[in-house]
Amino acid sequence: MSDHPLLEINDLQVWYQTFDGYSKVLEGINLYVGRGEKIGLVGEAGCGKTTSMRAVLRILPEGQAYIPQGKILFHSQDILNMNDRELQGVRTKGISMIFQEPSAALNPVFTVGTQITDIIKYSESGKGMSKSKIKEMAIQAIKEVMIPDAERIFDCYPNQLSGGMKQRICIAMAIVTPRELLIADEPGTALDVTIQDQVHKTLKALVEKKGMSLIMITHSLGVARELADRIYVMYAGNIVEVAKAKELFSHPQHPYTLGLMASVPRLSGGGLAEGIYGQIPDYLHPPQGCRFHPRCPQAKEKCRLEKPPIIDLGGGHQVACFPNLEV
Amino acid sequence: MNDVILSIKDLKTYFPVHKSKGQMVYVKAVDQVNLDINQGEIMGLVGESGSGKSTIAYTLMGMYKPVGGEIIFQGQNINVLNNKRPLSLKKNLQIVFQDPGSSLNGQHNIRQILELPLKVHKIVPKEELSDRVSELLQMVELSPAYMYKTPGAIGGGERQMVSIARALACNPKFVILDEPTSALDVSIQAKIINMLIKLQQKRQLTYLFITHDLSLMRNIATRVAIMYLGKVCEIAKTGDFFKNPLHPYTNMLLSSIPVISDEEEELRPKKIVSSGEIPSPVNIPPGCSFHMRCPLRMEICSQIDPVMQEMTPGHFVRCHACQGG
Repeated sequence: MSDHPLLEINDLQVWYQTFDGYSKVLEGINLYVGRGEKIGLVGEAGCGKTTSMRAVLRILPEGQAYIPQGKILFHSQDILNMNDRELQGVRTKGISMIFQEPSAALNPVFTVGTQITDIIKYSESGKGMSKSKIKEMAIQAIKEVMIPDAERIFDCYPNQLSGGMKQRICIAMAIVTPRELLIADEPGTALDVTIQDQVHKTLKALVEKKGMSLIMITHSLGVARELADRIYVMYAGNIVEVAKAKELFSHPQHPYTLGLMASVPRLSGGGLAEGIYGQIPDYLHPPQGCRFHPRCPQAKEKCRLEKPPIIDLGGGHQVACFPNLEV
Repeated sequence: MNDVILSIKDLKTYFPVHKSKGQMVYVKAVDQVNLDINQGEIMGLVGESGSGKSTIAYTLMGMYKPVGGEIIFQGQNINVLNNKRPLSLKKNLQIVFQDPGSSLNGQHNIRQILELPLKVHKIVPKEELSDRVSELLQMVELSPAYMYKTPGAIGGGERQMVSIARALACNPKFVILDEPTSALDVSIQAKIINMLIKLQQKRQLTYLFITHDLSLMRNIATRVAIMYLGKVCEIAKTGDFFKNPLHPYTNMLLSSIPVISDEEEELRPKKIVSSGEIPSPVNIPPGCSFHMRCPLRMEICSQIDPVMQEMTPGHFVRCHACQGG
């Protein structure tokens, strides 16, 4: 492994401007992705998973989002300081993203084929390529995401395709030109469980075949377990725990991770745990100290006052919590 | 045998789509469904989107008029639309919807929302309304301070608790839960499910629990029914169902569930890999509706629709391959 990771996020904060002041969504997250590594970013709705990944591509709503501090290093270059030309380079060669809702990510008035060939045309590798070569490349990409009769699909409009098919087309769009990192924002959430399984398997196989890195945003621990090598658990704009997938599921440490795991209904039965009391905090007035303390069953006085440090448990397992210190 | 509280016989709910060659084309959202629900049980009705599970719920509530079949509730045929049903029946049959954001009136506060069923069914005299509303809120573990908030001002989980309180306000016997937690996070889901089970035991309720989440049913349901394209394809007691799933579609569903431990991984059937997609309900394939995706497909499957057959006591399946050809 070379000395610097492919993508590195250092102490990133993102605030949103509202009528009542700044909504302090990300409190400073640290994250890195190695080459060819598959990362899972797990957390419940509204914890900032999508915000942090949109910041990476600089596609946060302009004028609303404000980044007070932080660095996003892609190949050791800070994406936040890039000019438009450099940023275009990252978006066409470096990173691509798949969104949660495939019907919203595709343009309804153009055929699927047009939308895929456009990507090739405006990418570096598509310059000076003949029309027939571009079409061939697009059809190859559709075939790669396991859609039968790719030629017919090429001329279809998005509304002629099912949800699962649309999501496969989105994956095809993301991999049609060579990229180094793929960010998948809950690609299976809008789909049925059998279709979700198929889409995830396709995604995993493709990423492995092409040697890309993957960031999988999901709210489901089960999905992260199946797809990721290393898992980041997020709560209220903080990374609360990170570990290798196996380690996280065998030795979860943070009270939030524990609560989340206990809440997942198991196929092996045994009833359901109590869940986690309360709900995600108001970002306009986030709690002092550890943002999880109002819901934490182990909260102590110190948690209310100070932000917990990040403790390294070895083997890449890190947890941001006080009570572990005293154990 | 247990007392059957609700019995669905040969229920058919079709929706007209368009005319083709002078003939009306229908979507068969629910087709020949037979289901008996016993007093005091939690019946899990599981299926993917478009399988007709919500249509069954709405037909039971009298929101859709079925094309054929019977719905018998406590020995009484209730196969009429909601506006023709007597008040005493409506009182005993309640529903909790999937999205609490749209099923609660945003213009009313929680007190107005919870008072309405109490007033309509004349459960308590006027002076006691306020007390009863705070009792209802306490029942769902919310503080009485919520009374003057609007649904827009509270979180999704709390809103769903208000919906549950509203459904239980008139002391029903039978409650339909239409994906009550699928819009919520797992930590909140666990809390609401636990509360629902506590209430079910305390008040001896019967639930028809509609969901797409099989692992959730493993933990709470008494019996599970699987739906595919408007038809029920397998019914069994929960223990039996997960130990010995028969229908190939059930196996496909089980093998697709993302799990979080090795122990669970072993319980998933491995032989069947998920393939294909649900076809359009307008053009349901002839024979067994699942045959195009089925790994155990035989010749007979594309010609004759299988019938429900009891394999072991209480375990019904509708499949040629499982029934031995």
